Amino acid sequence: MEVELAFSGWSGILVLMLYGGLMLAVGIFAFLRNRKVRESLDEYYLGGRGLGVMVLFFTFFATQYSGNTVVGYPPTAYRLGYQYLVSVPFFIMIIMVYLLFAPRLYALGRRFNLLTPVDWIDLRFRSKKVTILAAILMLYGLGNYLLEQFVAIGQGVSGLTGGTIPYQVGVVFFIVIMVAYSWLGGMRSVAYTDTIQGIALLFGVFTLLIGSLIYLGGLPTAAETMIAEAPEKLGAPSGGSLTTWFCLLVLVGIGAAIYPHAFQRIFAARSERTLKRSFIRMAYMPFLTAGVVFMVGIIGISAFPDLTTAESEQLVGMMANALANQNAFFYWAMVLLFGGVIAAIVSTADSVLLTFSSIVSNDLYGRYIAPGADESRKILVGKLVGVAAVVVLVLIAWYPPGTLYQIFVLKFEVLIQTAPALILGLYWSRLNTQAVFTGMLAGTILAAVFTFAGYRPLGVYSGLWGLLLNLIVCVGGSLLSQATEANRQRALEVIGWQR
Amino acid sequence: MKRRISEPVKKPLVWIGFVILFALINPWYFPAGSWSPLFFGVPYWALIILLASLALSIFITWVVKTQWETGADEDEEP
Repeated sequence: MEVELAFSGWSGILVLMLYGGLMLAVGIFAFLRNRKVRESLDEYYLGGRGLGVMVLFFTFFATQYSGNTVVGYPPTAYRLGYQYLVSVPFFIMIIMVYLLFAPRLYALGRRFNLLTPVDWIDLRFRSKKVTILAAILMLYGLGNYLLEQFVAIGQGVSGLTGGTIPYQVGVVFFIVIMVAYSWLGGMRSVAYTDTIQGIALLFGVFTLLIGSLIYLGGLPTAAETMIAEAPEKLGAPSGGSLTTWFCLLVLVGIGAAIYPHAFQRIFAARSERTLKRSFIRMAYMPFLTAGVVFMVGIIGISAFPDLTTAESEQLVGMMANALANQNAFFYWAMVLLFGGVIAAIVSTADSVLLTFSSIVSNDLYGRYIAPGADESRKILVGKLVGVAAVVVLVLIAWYPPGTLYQIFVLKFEVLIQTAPALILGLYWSRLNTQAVFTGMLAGTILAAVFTFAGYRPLGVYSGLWGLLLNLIVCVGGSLLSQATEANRQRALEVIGWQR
Repeated sequence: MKRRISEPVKKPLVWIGFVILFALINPWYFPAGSWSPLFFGVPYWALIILLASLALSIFITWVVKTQWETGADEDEEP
């Protein structure tokens, strides 16, 4: 997403400084309002399990929609046309998948004071190897996710400021701010800044759409261009495009719902009512975000015809440039839009980092290394390991290794392999620990091998093949090996909460 | 305190609704490559997909409002 914005130099820097200052102020505010934040894992990582509807909604919003939604989706819509309309329903799928596990998970989270997704896996399976494997997969997936966000922050900042601020300075500036406000206020800071960042992003995409409709032609003009030049962009999908459509719905639906930072947010809700209301709002957001940026990409087809793939990646920058030249309102609106894009990337990165630290604090350090440590010490270890991970990831971002680069690409493919343990474990008392472990490991290996080899049988994504194998092993293994009565009873004591 | 407990995942109606709507948000039921008629520049099939997506959002709202009641919060309150 390298976007060069000729229109924006010092004004871009100004907006970035303002965003940075505002986020820090939020961190200080969250810290002053709740000084106990460093003493309790619940307070630091879950905001004291007290997030209200609005803040919870925006923090869910920030985990699902990142800067990439705004800058990366329109180019895809530009290239694929209406075949990429799938980006609207796939965000709704996430909420549908949530409904299959969130109600029970929330109730269990309250009853057993669950803090992280790994916490839940440990409670359910009481198995060191399952817990550690799940923790490693999540830390690995989250680490790579964070790496991707850092690269995007750097490119966004240097793009917005017309190269005035070099890539590296942009990354360091925002990472320092992000770590500072996260450390100050924990989840509360992250959730409050998510709210500000979400509003900035929504404002930006709507002005982009309105501007595009006024100055760059509407959907009918785009349709005429497509009829004349590329009717396949208008036509109903068939064959391979249908498979891709289907895979995206399943992969994004399951994958984004069980992203560890998305999963963990369920525990942070103030009440069941709060969680329900946030979900209802989320169910309509795809039309206002993915739908809007999709239209922007379609309008681009007639406004900037015949771009190559590489050129089309700059589409949002080109449109923003064109609008910024119209008048002062759109000039500032576009500066705010790109500030909002960077803010959105930061808001995704901070959530990921907080969850990363929580798994280290609670599940590795707190559970196995120093179970007796007090909570403030566990938090401190989580913070420090988080910062160490950030430093390593930044170095990787700056000096990408020539070989083995692909191990930094795996995210979804790996994270989704924890789904059977996380979700099936909620409902099926016979689910066998050994089968869960073998399935998770086998699925991860298969997904990794397929990804490295670029192998995609039947056009189905590697992560889904891994998940399929994982499920077969989990279910088959559990059915074949009778769970001992003691294990079943123990599982029922946990998940049979409703009796 | 005794409360009626209800989970969406245990309701056949919820599953039926999700399966039907999932089928409808996949564009397999249109003639391949067709786009006419256009409404305000949008192909007819894209509008149908959007309507099906909206139906899914509305169905989700209904499920959340009426099929999800675990009384989780009452557990804690004395």
